Amino acid sequence: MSIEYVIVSERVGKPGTRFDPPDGVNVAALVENGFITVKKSDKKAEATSGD
Amino acid sequence: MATSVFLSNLTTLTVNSVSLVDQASSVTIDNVAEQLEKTSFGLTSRIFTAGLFNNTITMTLYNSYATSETYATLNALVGTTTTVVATVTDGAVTKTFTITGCYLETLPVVNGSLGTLSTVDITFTGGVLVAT
Repeated sequence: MSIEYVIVSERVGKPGTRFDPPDGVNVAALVENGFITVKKSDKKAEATSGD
Repeated sequence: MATSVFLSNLTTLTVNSVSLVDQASSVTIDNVAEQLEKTSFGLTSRIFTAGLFNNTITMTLYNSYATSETYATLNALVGTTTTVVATVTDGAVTKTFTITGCYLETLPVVNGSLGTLSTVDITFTGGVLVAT
């Protein structure tokens, strides 16, 4: 299951929208400094799938 | 004679997907093919051929330690590779230069003098340059 990211800072894009990292982008640096966050998993979906 | 005067021609500048166009006052992207000499006896002029590409991107940015500003964008990139994108508009023509995998070796963390705005000069090296 791939990790999904959400934009926090306007410098990256529209806050609240999904962030798809372009090639070569250092995602860890963006997360570390609060530009994006890791999208929280959908607990309901996880329960259904049994993960 | 064709000329490009830089007023607001640089329409986008992103470093690691973070827009820094409003913090930049100077940007230079050099497409560099290292020269390898292949001069041999009997020739009277030096002859070169292309080696590896070794692009460089230099930029001057106003420094800020605030959230989502210059320092926050760059501090975690030192010693790593990233992607830099610059878009230049010249009349009806728009060119986008994308450098993927360029390396940031040095970030000046303090650079200032009395009565001046603090700026940082940084250089990315290497990576693959694509112009579209």
